[in-house]
Amino acid sequence: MNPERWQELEELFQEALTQPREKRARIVEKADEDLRPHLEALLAAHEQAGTFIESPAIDVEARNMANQKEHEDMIGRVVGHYRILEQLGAGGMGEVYLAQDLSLGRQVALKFLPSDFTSDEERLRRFEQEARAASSLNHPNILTIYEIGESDSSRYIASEFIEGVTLRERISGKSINIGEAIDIAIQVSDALISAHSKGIVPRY
Amino acid sequence: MPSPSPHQVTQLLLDWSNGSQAALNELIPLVDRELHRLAHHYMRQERPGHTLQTTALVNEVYLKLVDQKHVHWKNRAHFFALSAQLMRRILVDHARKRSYAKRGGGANKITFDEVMVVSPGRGKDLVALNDALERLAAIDGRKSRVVELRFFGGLSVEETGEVLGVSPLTVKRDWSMAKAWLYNSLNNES
Repeated sequence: MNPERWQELEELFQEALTQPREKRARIVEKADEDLRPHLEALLAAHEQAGTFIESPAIDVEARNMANQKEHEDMIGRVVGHYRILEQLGAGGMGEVYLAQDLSLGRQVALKFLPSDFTSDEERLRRFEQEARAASSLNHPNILTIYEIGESDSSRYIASEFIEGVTLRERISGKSINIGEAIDIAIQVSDALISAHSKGIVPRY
Repeated sequence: MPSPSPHQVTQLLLDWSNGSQAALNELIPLVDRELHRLAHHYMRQERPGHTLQTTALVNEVYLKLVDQKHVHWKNRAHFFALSAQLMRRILVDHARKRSYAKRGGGANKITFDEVMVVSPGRGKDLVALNDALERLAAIDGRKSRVVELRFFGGLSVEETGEVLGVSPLTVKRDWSMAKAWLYNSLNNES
């Protein structure tokens, strides 16, 4: 973006921030077609950003270190009938580990719900309802859920473990050919049809 | 190892700005030690709700590392700018070495809720943030500096304005735009 356009974007952004949320659409309309998506993205980010970068970097890094140490301490522990093998990543809600099912011997993905989530009964109820709905589905393109479990004060969900990249990661930065795109779209649609047939509609 | 006095830290900062690798090598353990102290504090603190205490602790860490209040320099702004650059350099290197998220893997099937989607914790990662900040610097140098001074350097709005020679209001505006831009860049663009 050239400096003039950036300047223009900033002026609209700042002007929108002076308005209550419901009146911001009027400012967005003032932006031309090219600028509008940028302005919309910035305003949405402004609403979502919360405490992002509001505490100093040294604090962020120290908290990350503490989290990492806690995750490392999880490795080798036995939770329910699973032994934790390694950390896979952090999702939108909670930490995910690769674990060994000690009774069946297979590997599973074990996801722990964060404590602020498990202390909220309404969210927990909704989550369990969704997990039950998802577990009623049997489709090769839908993650198989094995179990919702509870151990000490933590809740976890055990599911099929699948290695690979997310669709977002697959399509970011590099193009995919039409054949592959169609293949993916068919698999997605197929999974959605299967879910819809059971009355389950994903929220996005 | 005894901690260097604020005067010594100031001299080390100056030496580092003049290109002394030896000075940097002396400064890194100071920051590391404080990082470990803070991290240890967070590990013991299981329950949330002690924010006041930790805020005070973080402030104390900053005071120890870059003793802003006791700088009698004729050029405070220069000192602030150097401190922020130093913290950025050391903290980003630290995060990089920590090899967070060893695998970038994730589920590749359609799931019903974000609950089940796995991805490495982006956005919290100082390395990714640093990269985004470099991209921002190419578009708007001053906004990138505002973030460096406030987020990495721990400076207040007023101090940031002092360094950049702009009003506090300008700093606040720069900050809100930079924050939104960085957040969007880390979370929505791949």
